[in-house]
Amino acid sequence: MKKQLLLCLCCVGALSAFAQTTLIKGRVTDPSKNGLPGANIFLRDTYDGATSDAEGNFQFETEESGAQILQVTFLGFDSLVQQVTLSGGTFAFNPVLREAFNELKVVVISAGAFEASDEKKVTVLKPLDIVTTASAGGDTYGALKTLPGAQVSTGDQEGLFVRGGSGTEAQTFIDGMLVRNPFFANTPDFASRGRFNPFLFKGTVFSTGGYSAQYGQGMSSALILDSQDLPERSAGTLALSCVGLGFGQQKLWKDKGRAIGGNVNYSNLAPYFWLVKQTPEFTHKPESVGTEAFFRQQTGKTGLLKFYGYYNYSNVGFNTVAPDGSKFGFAVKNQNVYTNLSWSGLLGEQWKLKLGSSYARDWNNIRSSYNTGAILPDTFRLYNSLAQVRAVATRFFGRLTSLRFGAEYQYSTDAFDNQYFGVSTLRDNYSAAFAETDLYVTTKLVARLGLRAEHSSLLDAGRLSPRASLAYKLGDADQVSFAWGHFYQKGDSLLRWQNQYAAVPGFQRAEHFILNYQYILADRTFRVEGFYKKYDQLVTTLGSLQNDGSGYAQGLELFFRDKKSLKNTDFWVSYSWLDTKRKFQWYPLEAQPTFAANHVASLVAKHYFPKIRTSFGFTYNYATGRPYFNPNQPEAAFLTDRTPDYHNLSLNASYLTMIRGAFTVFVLGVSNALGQEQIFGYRYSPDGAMRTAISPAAKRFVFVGAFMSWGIDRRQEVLDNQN
Amino acid sequence: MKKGLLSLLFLSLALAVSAQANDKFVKAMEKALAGLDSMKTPEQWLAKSNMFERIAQKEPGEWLPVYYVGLCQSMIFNLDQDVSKHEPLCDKADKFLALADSLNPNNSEVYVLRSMAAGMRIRLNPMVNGQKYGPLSGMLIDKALQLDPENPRAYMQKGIGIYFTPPQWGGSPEKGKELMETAAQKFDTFKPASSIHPAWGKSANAYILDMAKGK
Repeated sequence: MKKQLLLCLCCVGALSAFAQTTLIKGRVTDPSKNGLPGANIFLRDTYDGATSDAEGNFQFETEESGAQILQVTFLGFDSLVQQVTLSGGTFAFNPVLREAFNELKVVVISAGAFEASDEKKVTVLKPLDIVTTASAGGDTYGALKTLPGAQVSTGDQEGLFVRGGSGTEAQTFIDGMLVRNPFFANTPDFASRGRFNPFLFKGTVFSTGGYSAQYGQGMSSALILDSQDLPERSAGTLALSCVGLGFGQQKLWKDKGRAIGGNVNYSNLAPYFWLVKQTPEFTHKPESVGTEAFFRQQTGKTGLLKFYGYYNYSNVGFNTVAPDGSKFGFAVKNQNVYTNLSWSGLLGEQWKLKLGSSYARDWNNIRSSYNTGAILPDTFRLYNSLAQVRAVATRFFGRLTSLRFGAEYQYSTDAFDNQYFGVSTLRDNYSAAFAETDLYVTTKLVARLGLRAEHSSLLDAGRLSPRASLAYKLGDADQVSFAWGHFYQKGDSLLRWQNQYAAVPGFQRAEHFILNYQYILADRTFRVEGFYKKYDQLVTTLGSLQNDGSGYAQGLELFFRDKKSLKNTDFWVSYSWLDTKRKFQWYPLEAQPTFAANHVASLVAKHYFPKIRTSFGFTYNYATGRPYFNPNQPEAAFLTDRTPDYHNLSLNASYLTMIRGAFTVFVLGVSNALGQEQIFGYRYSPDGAMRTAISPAAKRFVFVGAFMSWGIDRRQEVLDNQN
Repeated sequence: MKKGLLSLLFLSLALAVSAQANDKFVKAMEKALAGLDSMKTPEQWLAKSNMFERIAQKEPGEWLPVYYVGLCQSMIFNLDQDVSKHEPLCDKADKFLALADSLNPNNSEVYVLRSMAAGMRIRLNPMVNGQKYGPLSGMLIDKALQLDPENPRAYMQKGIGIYFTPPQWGGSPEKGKELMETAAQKFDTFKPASSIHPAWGKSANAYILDMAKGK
């Protein structure tokens, strides 16, 4: 016993008496042997360690000996752990650190895609950019028109016109599901705004071509919108403007696992039109009532159930004077319902599942006539509906590579109801399946290979579309990307009724080739993209409806954004050159379509004055003239006339402040501030002798509004949950 | 008897070892804290941060080293011109301060730093982060004052915050100055709980107060 005690005491003594010192020295580098300054090198579970100097060199002494663990940590790099045996003297240690996985260093497929997201770091835009762009007027589509590839001067038509494609060839998807009526009711000679509030979405991808096999039925473009998850807090909002008012409320449960909310809004342009004279004579000034509701419920650890419901009623009527002095009357009452229910979550570590369903219905009650006096009841009704279900499964292989596959089914109806012919309804069962892989060969090289199979019961036909993209990272900041694919789309059902109830035409096709170079470094972005598109099987309406149209589009686009060079200033410039011709619908020969301008450019700038908490912005849009139909021209000169060039300077200012605890933004916006004449085309008299220009209803539009939001006071909750 | 003697011996040995260990901890902390007021460059602060991190991994139950790592991140953020590092610094500060908060809940000093970290988020991107982190920073500093009304750093942080906030957002140079003056008085009488407890900030407060008065 005594012996043991003695031994024990000896041991304790040994710890101090016989401790030997080891000098640990070396250099911390990255794999290319560049020294890393500021790394922390230490023996685990001891106080001993050092920080590397400007060249990466370090040294420190320790009295520990035997088996030890050396560790090196450095912000932005994976930490390194090494087992060592220390026995006095000098111990050489030259750790090589690898950069930690960093989203910024991984290649992304950029060909054809503009993304706005807060979650992802390498995006050209942020969601806030969409609402702060002067010419957008708070409309997502308005902001997208300042990006390369989109037309800006199509102020007389509904839709997004991308790279020589018509408005119907660009589709909108919410949480993966097709939206049939993303715009407010179409009225001739007016641009339509998007129905959905940009604040509903956390991420937006605007694809001008070459997009994923997950999406179909858009020959030129896909706008992919991802709805918000759980809100950050309970809040109330109030919007007051010169065109209407809105009120909203959202509640976030205390456990942050559930939220519910809704908005109501009413707009009426009568007071504004009373103040500012409009060219057309309004028989019913634009009026709309809308309401929306959402619900979010977390399920388990990773699942989220989302519901969104929308209803809107709008009413507008006006007369325009035809060249011969007669009046053309048009009035539409529209009702629209949109619902979207989705669930997404992880199944284990390697699987992600996304399920969705959506139902939407649109009613249009239209009265239109050529008449000298009041509108005669030449009434017709257009209805459409779309019910769909969709499922997508993703299997992850490692950190980056994944395989996605899924299927969707859509049941759609289109009905045309006219007092002379009664109701005619088209019904389609459309189904599609797709598979796609994001294959990361290295963090610098990715291939996306996809295949989509589609079938339509109405067309009694199926199509297979292959898609492929490649992207390669050249350096830290730049990369090249290529995309190719086939894109099919059903013909527009309206064409059928406009052409004596002709037979239903088949699928139309576009093939895209896109080459992109992108440079993004901190606050500067540069992109250049060239593309070639080939159309075939386009629907023509001369005689019967046939799929014998064709065409092409090619172009070059530039985009430059800089948030850095000028203090508190953010600007971007985009330029698109487009060369396109097509033979489709009623075109007797291949011609540049009426919705395509050859040169389009936009300058968007925002400057923030911190002292007065005000941000000023302007947008200048320019486009060369668009072709218009002149009945006096011989057929050989079909669509060879051009409207004058389009110019639009929009201004906006927003002032941020607090009013009684509410974050308040006052907004002032002016479109076409310089009052430049904008001509979208001409309307001819039946004999072609007289014409009137198609122009906006008023030269300028001035918007004044205030948006207030109250966070509901939950101080302790915020404190408890912020980590 | 022997057994009793033996266990007594072991007990005293254990106590001696632990006292020695505690002594080592305090010494290591004192060494890391030495000269903290005269740090001028982000590199110097990073070296200090590394020292505190080493102590933190050796003493996983102690809140002070973790707390000082959080302080160092905010100092590096203030001094480092390389904005690409700012977001990782915010992330690191949040991580360590969350740990400090769990090791020592409801501590006024930790709340001061959490309020500072929220302020870093705002400076990262005022337009995007202001609406969320502005009120959060305010709530955190109010909580710090409520937890310890004698904490000079809480008055200082609140004063600086209010001084630099534009009037529309509830800021006021006058009110800010008043709070910094209160902080200066509290600094004069402040006695840290030990040689390693938070005692920083007196000179920084005086510096900003002079600047504010000079205007």
